[in-house]
Amino acid sequence: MDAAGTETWASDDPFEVLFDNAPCGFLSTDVDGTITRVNATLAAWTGRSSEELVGHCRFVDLLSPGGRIYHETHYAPLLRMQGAVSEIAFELLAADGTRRPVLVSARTRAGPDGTPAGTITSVFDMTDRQRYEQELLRARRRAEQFAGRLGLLEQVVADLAAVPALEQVRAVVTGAGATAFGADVSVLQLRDDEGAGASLWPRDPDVRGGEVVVVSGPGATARFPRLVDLLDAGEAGTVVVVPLSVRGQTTGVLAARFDAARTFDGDELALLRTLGRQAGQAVERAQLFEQQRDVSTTLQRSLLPHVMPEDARYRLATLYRPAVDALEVGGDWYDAFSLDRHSVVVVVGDVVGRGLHAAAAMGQLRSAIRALAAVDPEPSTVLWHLDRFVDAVPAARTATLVYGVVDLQDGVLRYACAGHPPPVLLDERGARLLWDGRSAPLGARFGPAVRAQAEERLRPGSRLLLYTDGLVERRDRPLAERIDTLAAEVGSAAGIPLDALLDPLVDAMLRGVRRRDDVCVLCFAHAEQPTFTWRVDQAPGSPLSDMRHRLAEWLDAQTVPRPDRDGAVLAASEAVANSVEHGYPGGRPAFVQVQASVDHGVLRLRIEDHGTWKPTPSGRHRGRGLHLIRRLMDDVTVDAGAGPVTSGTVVNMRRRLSVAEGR
Amino acid sequence: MGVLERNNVTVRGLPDGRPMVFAHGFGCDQNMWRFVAPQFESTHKVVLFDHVGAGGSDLDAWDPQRYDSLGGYARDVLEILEELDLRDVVFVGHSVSAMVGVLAANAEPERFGALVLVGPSPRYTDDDGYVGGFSTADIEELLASMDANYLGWSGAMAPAIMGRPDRPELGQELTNSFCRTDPEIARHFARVTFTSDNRDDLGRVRLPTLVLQCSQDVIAPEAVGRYVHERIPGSRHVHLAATGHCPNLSAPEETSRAIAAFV
Repeated sequence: MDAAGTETWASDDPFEVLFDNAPCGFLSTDVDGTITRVNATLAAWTGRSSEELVGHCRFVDLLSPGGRIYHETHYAPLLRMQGAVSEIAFELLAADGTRRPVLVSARTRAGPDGTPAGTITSVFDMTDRQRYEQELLRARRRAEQFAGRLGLLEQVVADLAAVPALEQVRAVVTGAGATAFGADVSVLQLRDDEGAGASLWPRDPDVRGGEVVVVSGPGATARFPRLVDLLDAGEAGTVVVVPLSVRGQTTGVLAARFDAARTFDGDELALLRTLGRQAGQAVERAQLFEQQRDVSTTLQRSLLPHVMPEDARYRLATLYRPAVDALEVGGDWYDAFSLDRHSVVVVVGDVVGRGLHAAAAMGQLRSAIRALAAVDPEPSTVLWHLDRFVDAVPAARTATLVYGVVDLQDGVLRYACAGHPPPVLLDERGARLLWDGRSAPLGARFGPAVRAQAEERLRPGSRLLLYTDGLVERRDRPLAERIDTLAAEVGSAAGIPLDALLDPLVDAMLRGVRRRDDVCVLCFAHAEQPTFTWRVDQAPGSPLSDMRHRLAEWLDAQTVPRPDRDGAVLAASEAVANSVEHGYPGGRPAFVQVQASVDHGVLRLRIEDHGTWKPTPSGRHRGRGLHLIRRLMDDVTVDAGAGPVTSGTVVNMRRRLSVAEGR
Repeated sequence: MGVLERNNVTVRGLPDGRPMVFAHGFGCDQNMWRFVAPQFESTHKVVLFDHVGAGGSDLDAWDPQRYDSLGGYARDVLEILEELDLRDVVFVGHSVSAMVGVLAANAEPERFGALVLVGPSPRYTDDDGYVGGFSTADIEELLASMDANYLGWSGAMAPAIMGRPDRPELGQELTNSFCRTDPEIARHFARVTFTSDNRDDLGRVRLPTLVLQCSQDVIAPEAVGRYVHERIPGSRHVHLAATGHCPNLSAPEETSRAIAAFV
């Protein structure tokens, strides 16, 4: 080549010039493969002169060892069979050992008799193309990676749409950092998180502006000290901060740590920004959802009765257990209230649906029942009015309920079931289901116009169990079978005290059940054991005469003989006086409770206070009081709670009645 | 699937003639014999097959454990002979299949009548006085290159060095060629072939054996063919004028004449 960059041609024949100086290699061989002609370009690539090549070398000799085997096992057979091959990749091995990637095409040359006489081969330098293809390959890998991430992001968005609660949203978003981008550690911090606040990204204009920040090494610590701390990130890797933005406001950040320092290209940053926006919206949605759920829960709890009626002639136990994983409250409720001195109403019901509307409808139904029962407690009448009532409260329509009114004088229960599972009645004859008095759910426009009701006489000591269907429904069992199972469970729990009845009973019924519904249970225990309760929780000095008077009256009602009655009243009086005067030194407000029961000829007294009982050294008066109590009663135990938790004292005393057995 | 389907076995020629079994080497399939085998159909029962992994064989039957040595391919040969109930077989093996034939014949000599070894090599690499034609470094480089799918073996024997999913017709065209091979199987077969050492098996051959040596064969150089001839007792050595490693394609007439003269 001369200074002007043009070739100096050795020959004047234009075909020779073209052949020798074409930008690709040419060669021809005889039938044995020996080179018969080679152009200058190819000879130069091999680092040999055409004289060295022609008549001495075969094309296969110019290839790398691997290429030689390939030539003999693939290329040559193909060429022989097909008469031509095109674009086979080889490496030329030059005389100095350097390699040059080439693309080779060849066809066989027929002699005058038509049999193969040799080959004609063209060789293209592929150095640049190989580089280009490698770049293409890298680009394709990047594109594939991007498509893969995009797919993952779509999955993340779908996952976010499927989870309503904030904790679930957190899990999905932090998981996305690892699955979509390969982060080693990801944390999600919201502005509203406790102790978080905007101090996590103090006045950082990028984060506040919704921009993804990628920062490595000491710069990360300087810029986001608290996030780096949370991520436990060293200075070797990279920290990425993705703002969660909603309507231009940054409400939190997804921060991720990559232990090996890495960079993010424009595509990746765009994906991260999208992730931040999607996460921001999901977080906002979840926060709204949880707010609403909290409101519903609060409302529902406030609508359930807090104080149950107290009466020595019956006792009540209730239980409310929300569904597992419940995201919204249900419309189950229980209620019990006294109508007058001699009757009490018990109700368990279930409003269809969940959430705020169901809770509100439940509250309205409960109030309506109280109001209606006050006018006329007959079950069929109450239901008849409720049918009209739900016309105005659509959310309460098709609610189911069981309503019962108990006459405490004769123990007669009048009840009705509106589309509700039957109550279970347990007495000394065993447990059975009350299948009468049934009719359709509230507001149903079918069945007889008059609501059915039924009657049942409750024997002393009997128990009546009302419940919602969450206790008995189970997908893999017929409802009737489950209700029978409940009756059997109630029957086998006959000896268990009322206070310890419901939890184990519900546990037993729900074992192995994936509970999607709330469970609401009310147990009415009729005249199980007459008890007397009196309590004082005001300042000392309140008249003990009131307690003495009421206890004596109650003991009379239990036909306790007079000497026993007077002894018990005196013992109770002594114990309460001790509690008030010594249990609460310094005149702090006192809490003292007196309970009495008469059962099978035994009178029991229980006095409980929350003060400190110091028998001897602190006061001889108190010591004397205990001495007196021991003389009045057959058996006295003092349980002065030891330790910081069980403060307070309980005195239990017992006296066997002298003449006749109490009621 | 039976043995005959597994190895895509073709039986032609004289039904009661002396059986000739042609085995192709590494690279292509039984079509390798398309100019030679027909020459024997009028006098012999001609049996052709594809090694598992090549040509029309059942790729599902390929098992890296079974085919981890040439012994696995020799077992296939014996199963074919048993299935067809062949005896007094003239086994014609090209390239690596020459050694496959040696192994099969040593295992069950009663089925064989003669061996024809075309371009045989009991070991492709040089070793302490032995000249295989390749250095260990050459083969290592070759295998490393293949593992990286760099040379364009098999799958990318094509043009498209990197694979061309955007131009599937290229692949299709090449798939139709008789050298089609699953890339993974090809790599494995190459490794088994070029790392094998069957020199000790040669001395145990007790059959009439013909060694056909090509001129200027870079895969099985003349010294190697000479070595095989010297190690197999009583073997005949014929030097062909044909050049390259595939005389069955480049010089079918000469190859056929040499075989016919032997059998």
